[in-house]
Amino acid sequence: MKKSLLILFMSLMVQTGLALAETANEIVVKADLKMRGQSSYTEMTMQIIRPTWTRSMSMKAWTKDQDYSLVLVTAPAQDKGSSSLKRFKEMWNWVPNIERIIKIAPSMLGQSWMGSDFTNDDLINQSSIVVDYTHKLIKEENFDKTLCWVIEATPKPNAPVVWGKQVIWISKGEYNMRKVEYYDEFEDLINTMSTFDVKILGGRKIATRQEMLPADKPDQKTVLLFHKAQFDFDIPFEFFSQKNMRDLRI
Amino acid sequence: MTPEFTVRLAWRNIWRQKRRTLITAGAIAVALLLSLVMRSMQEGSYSHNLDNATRFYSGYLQLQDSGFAENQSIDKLLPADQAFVERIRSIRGVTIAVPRLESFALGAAGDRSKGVMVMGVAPQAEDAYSGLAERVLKGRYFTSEDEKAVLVGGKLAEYFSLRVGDEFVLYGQGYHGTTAAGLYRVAGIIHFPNQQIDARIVYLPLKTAQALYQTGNQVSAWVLHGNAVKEIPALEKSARKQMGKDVNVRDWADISPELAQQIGLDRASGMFMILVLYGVVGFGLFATIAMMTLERRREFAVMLATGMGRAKLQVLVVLESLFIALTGVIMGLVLAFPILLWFYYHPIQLTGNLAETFEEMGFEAIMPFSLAPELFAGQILIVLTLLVICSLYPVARIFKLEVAAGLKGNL
Repeated sequence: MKKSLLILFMSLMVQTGLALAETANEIVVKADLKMRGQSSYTEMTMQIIRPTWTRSMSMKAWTKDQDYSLVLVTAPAQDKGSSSLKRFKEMWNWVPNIERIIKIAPSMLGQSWMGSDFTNDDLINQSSIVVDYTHKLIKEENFDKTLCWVIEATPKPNAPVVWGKQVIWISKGEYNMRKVEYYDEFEDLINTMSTFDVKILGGRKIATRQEMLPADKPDQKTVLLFHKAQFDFDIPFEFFSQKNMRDLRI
Repeated sequence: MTPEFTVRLAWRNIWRQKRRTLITAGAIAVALLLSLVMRSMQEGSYSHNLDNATRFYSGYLQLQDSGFAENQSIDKLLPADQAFVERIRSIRGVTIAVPRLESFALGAAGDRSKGVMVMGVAPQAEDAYSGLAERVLKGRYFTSEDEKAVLVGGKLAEYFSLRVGDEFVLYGQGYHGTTAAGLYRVAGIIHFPNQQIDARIVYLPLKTAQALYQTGNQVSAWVLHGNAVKEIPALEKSARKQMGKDVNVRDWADISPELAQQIGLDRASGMFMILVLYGVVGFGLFATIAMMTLERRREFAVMLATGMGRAKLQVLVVLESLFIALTGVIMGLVLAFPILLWFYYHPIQLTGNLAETFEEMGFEAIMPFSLAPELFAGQILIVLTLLVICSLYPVARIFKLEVAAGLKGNL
């Protein structure tokens, strides 16, 4: 009995020790899992803010593992029913008013998603940060009064990615991505995403407001607000199909 | 000695050496002829081809919203209503104004997609202006103002394996963040010699494009044309004045800088050739004038000794050089003018590879000539400048001539 307790204690020690020496890669994996879990469902509002106009969109998103995701637009009326589907490396858009599915060419992944400051890649291909990049811990720094690890992510050779580099701030302890800087292949800053309003949503403490700011247009941004979330539920692979993307009417 | 007498004396003097005068004047004439033909051909083809090439895309000028040039945003548009058209009419020298709505979209057909350049055009006005209907290889041109039909470039059609009558999807970002999505029939396949354009271009009727991008009655550019290429600066000035600050007036060279560079390079190489030619002729003229001065030192000394003023003698020698140059210029013009006139009315038709190169640049495969007066004036000015430089020598020489030594012939 005593012996087994000792072993338990020692193994706990080892685990904590390991936890203390977490690698950058493990941190990123944890942060990604926190936001998406084995599966996730979120309801969001997107506000596109421009100097002369603003526009608001509501949507629902589902993900499963690292390879499946589906985003459905629920408002405004004219875009209602539009959806984006990602399966592994492929991406499609369903455009209800012409009743057609459009396959998004890889070269279009860096283009704006529905006119926002988020790219197709940012929104629908979030797991890319885990799969396609190598990670390096560069420092620790405060962001929004929270101590964060700052991790530099560089794309793996031949990875189908849009960015030349990403720098990510992940809060210590909570594993929330608090800030991401997106750089192009010439190391110029293109976009900065910052997250705020850490709250409990779907049983997890996550940042419920994301702001994407393009570096060269200081007077515009896109804000993503999370209203509802659910994690780690059962969802069949068939959910992420072209047929379902067309039929979704939720 | 009256001025008339000086003139007559100078005229007689140059014919004392008939052959030399004729050869020198002939050299000037040939140089003038060659450079006139070359420059006339260059300028003629620039203005003709510019008139042609600009019709397809840039126009002489374009009016755009002041924010459009930066990133060609679909949010930065100009009105297309009657009031705005009236304002355009108030620009002096505008002969044609056609509206266009240019933007980007994702083109999709079957399992493929690709970024394409979308051009919304007013079907009739555009055809009258740029001859778009003639570029249709297969299928037909637009038949109505708002039909849901597209014309696609040949290379683009190849990429999507499109045939006339197939479905084609355009998907992108519309006005103020709306979604632009449209399903169209391929009405025709058009051919552009420029391959980059051929692989990207999709034409829509203007109203269809406005519906796709949800822009209402707005356009990305008003394309303006005038009477002649040389009137562009005046046109531009008037346009700026009439349209005010919110409207960006851009000329063809700003919109198609590669075309402007091409012309600039060609013009510079022509100028260089002419410089070399006149350099050679200039030395010939100088040799003749130098000889005319040196061999007549004794004669000059006698004239000075018998009371002729140095200034008058200098005038005489300059007049002689001028007569040689003018004889050359007149001979050159007499030779050149009929040739230029002939080619002005019968432009050279290019064939073979050269013709293809021309067509690929969006030019017509002909070499028209120009009869612009400033061309002639320019060449004559060059000859006269040469003359002034050359006659500095005899003038200086006469100024320094010592009468006594000259009389004795000890020089």
